[in-house]
Amino acid sequence: MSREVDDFFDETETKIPEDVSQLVEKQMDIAEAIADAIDKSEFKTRKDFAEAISMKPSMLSRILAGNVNLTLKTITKIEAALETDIIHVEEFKHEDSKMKPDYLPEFYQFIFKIPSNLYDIRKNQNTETEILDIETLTNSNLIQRDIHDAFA
Amino acid sequence: MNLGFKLVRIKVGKKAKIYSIQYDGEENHEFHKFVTNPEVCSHPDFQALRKKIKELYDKRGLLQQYFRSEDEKCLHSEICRIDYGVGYLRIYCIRWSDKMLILGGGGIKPDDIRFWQESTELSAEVRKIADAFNRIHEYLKINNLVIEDILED
Repeated sequence: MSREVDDFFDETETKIPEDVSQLVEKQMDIAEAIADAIDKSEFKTRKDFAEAISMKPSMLSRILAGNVNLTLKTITKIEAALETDIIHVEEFKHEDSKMKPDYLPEFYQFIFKIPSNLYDIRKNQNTETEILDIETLTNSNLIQRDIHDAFA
Repeated sequence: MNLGFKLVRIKVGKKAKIYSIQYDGEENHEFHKFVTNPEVCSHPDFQALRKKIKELYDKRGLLQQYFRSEDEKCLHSEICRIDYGVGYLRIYCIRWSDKMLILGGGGIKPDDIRFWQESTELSAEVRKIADAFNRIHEYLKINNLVIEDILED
């Protein structure tokens, strides 16, 4: 077999770029997931499905061939019509309502009148420590009294 | 009846075997001509098409959905193409079965045309692969053979 044909299949000389490789794989995974969902759905044919979502059958055919870089909008439209998830994204887990450390010093100084020199010492420590210490301060008698004064 | 070509095995994957057509008197098979065409291998979609074909023979199998039939009534459904993106870069093939694919030649659909029939180069490739398919069918029928009888390593 020729060098070019060998290389095409076995990547002996030219590797397929990783980003291209992953994109094609994902497009084909999504294409198969959509095809499977349509086959399991109430739509009798793929053409029926295309019509139901106002899509040209030729476009659906291109999607199922793994040829389309689908937008999230189109995927969501397909998911809604098929009443199933085509792609699954873990719900983003928000941290408890901790403010960003960058804003904390100004916030606490403004509300609780923490002396700036106290913050200057704290900010040289790592972020976690900074938050913990300020939380500790918030619970301290000194800060509790400031809160009382602030809203009195 | 002389077939006029041989079917040369070019890849054995986990899910399918790939062959190409080598015409009598020619030094190289059709797929070789495709991958050595500078215009083809420098096309922006060439690497993606390569990956797609790899996925077919090694991982997913020759699923029908990945093969696009040409819209012409005289063509059998086995005669189709593999393309990528908007389909400018394409390779014509015979999807003989779920596990056997015969790759022909291909090319690039110019921007200014809508159908392959408008391109002399692409039309020639489609006609060639369609003719090969018809010849194989007839040859097997006349000689009472199955496809495995005429495959070459």
